[in-house]
Amino acid sequence: MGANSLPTDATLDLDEQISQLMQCKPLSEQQVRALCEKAKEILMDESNVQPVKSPVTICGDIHGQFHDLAELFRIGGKCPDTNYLFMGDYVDRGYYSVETVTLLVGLKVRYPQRITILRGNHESRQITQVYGFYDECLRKYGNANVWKIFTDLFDYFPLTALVESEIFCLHGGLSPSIETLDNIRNFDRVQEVPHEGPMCDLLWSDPDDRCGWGISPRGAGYTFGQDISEQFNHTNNLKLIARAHQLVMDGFNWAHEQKVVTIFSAPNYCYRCGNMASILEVDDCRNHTFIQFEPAPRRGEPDVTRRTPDYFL
Amino acid sequence: MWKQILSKLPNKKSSKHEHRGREHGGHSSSSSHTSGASTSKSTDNGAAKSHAKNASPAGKSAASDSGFKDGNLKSSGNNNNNNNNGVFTPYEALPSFKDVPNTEKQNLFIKKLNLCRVVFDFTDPTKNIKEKDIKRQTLLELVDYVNSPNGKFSEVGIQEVVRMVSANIFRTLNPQPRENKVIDALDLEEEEPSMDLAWPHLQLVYELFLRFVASPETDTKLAKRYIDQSFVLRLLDLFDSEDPRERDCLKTILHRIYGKFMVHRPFIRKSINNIFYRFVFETEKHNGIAEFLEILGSIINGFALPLKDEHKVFLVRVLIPLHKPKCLQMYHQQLSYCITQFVEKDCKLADTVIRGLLKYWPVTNSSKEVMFLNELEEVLEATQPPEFQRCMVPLFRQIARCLNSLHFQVAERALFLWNNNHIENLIMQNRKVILPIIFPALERNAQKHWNQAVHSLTLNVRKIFHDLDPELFKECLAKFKEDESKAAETEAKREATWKRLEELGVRKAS
Repeated sequence: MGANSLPTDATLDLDEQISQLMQCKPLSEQQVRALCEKAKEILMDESNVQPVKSPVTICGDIHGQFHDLAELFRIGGKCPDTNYLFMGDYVDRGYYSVETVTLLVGLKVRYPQRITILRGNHESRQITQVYGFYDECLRKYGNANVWKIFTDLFDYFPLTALVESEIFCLHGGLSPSIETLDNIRNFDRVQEVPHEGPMCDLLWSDPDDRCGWGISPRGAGYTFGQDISEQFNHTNNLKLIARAHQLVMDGFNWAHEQKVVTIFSAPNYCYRCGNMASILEVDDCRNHTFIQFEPAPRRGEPDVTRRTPDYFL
Repeated sequence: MWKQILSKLPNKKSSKHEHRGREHGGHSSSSSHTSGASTSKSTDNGAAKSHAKNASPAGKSAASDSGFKDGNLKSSGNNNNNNNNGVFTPYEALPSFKDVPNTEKQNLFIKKLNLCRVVFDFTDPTKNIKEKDIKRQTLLELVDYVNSPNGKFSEVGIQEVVRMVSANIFRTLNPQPRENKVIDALDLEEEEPSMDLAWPHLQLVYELFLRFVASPETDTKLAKRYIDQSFVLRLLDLFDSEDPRERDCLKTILHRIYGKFMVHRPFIRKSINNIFYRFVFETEKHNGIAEFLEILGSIINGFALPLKDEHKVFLVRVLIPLHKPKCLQMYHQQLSYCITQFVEKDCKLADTVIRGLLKYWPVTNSSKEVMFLNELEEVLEATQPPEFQRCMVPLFRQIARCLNSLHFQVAERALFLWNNNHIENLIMQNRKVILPIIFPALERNAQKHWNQAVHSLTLNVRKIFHDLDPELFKECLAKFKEDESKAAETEAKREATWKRLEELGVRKAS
């Protein structure tokens, strides 16, 4: 089997699988296994700081809200008509983690150059056992094999991406043990997300109003102030850090005098937070446009918007 | 708004009245007729019915609630209809107890109770501020009065307390949309309970009632006429309240009633069982399961030995199936306490309980599985060797699956069983049976479990067996290796067969 171009049969199969997944119908265990094999081949060749060209549409957390992902594609354009960069957290919380992550991995295998999927802090064995993906796999497949296949694959997801050498994209934020992009390029990412250290910080940190480094209330990663972002952007010739990881009511939120932006793409998060979602379009002239969107009408999911618990905000 | 402040149906009345009231629309509108009628029910039930029948449709036949005027309900007859908004007697505070002579106190008590029968609308905090405050003050005085020794309560007094309490607490609970059930299971700790806005009054009513029930001045023989089975049933219904504060009050009160009204005990147990059955087999939705179980825990604690069959049936038919619902987490602690109480009372039940747990062992819900393992440890703690031996084979087949779980919390929790001395002893005494069952699981974990903690805990447990009985360990290891190579052989054969078939197919096709 050629590495560059798939044989036609396989492509046809994959197209069929993608259209099945677009209808929110999961693949069989064998199909998932074969798909993830191929995905692993592709992902293991990607860099810890994966270069990405514009135009591209940058997206934040999805969290198993499959119907909102479908809405995202309706609004932002289908893959491969639009190039996409997803910044992690495909699974947990929502009801359709299996369908969501399988679809994104399917698209990655079908259009490896047109979609980039980074690793979020939820793409981890331990977190998915506490927040829902593990149990969802048990419910949908009767055993944990699919969970194992996916979490083994997550180890290969790139940690960060760099759009046109000026927008640095990652799930969480900066790390006190990382000064340059080369620092990131140099470590071995193929492992479970550790509880501490640079790899953990990239997936867990948050920007903060206070200067310098702070202890994160999340118990992993750090908070970093504007001084840190400015220094990092300056050192690495960056214009912007785009990240996800935090619920923001408008779907996007500027911080650190436009040095950092948070993008969140799960509208009405957990079916109750009442927030908007957004995606960031970067066109070929490197112009930025945010597109906001609301939850898609759906069946089979609860409609339970109530008061948002404070700690989501 | 005034429709809201009608007194509700008292407990003592035939269901026909209630039904009739509903037929006429507003369920509260019938209440004041029948409340008048109910007082005369014992003497002339037929007449009471005709009151209700005649008065209800008119709705505004009466001028005022005479109960407020003289506090003598017997004289109020069919006139105490306060349904008509315009002609309601002004809501005014009554003199305080200390300002009236002792001879008047009893009367004043009744009057104050009547005053508190009016229920206010709390959805609008700007409405009836003055009246609400008067009622609050009156309730406080009543709580004080009930709490201070004034001699036995008269039958009228008892009746009026129950009427007032009924008017306030028996109401339609506002259920949350049922869709929430799924979310509850998803992240329970994030669900905020909804609080009853009328709590400032409800709390005092409950407080008063609790003290009343607990008071030595309350004659059970008299009170059971009013705190009767239908009252108890309605009280049990309230346990579905969303408000945890209310459920807490109910719990204490029901416990007191159970303690004091011996005559109601079997009825209360039976009624709670029915609520449990409905919950387990029909709705899987009830807010008060934990509170019921807490009461039952203390009841079980008081069971005399040897246990009656009725109680053992309760264990098997009610408590064990309560492990089934998805929302087990809401009441597991209390359930687990009840179960261990049984096993501690009668250790012969351990085998039954463990088999029950195995029957309901969760397959796709890992956090529930951890709860089962927690409970299992508590049960095993009270289990003696004979019962242990009776169930150890199926039990350790399950434990082997848990040890091997890819879920780190499940595997970890199963491995923690070896930290318990009593359980470790039981296992080691029966190692000849147990080790062969769990050996492959231990070995697989030791070879490759993704979680570091599970891996090292497994090595510890393996070492315990190895140190205690190296011979047995060696046997198991040999058997394991043999099985492994057999399995590999079978797999290779299977693949070879498939390969041959595929080749044949290709050859035929070409």
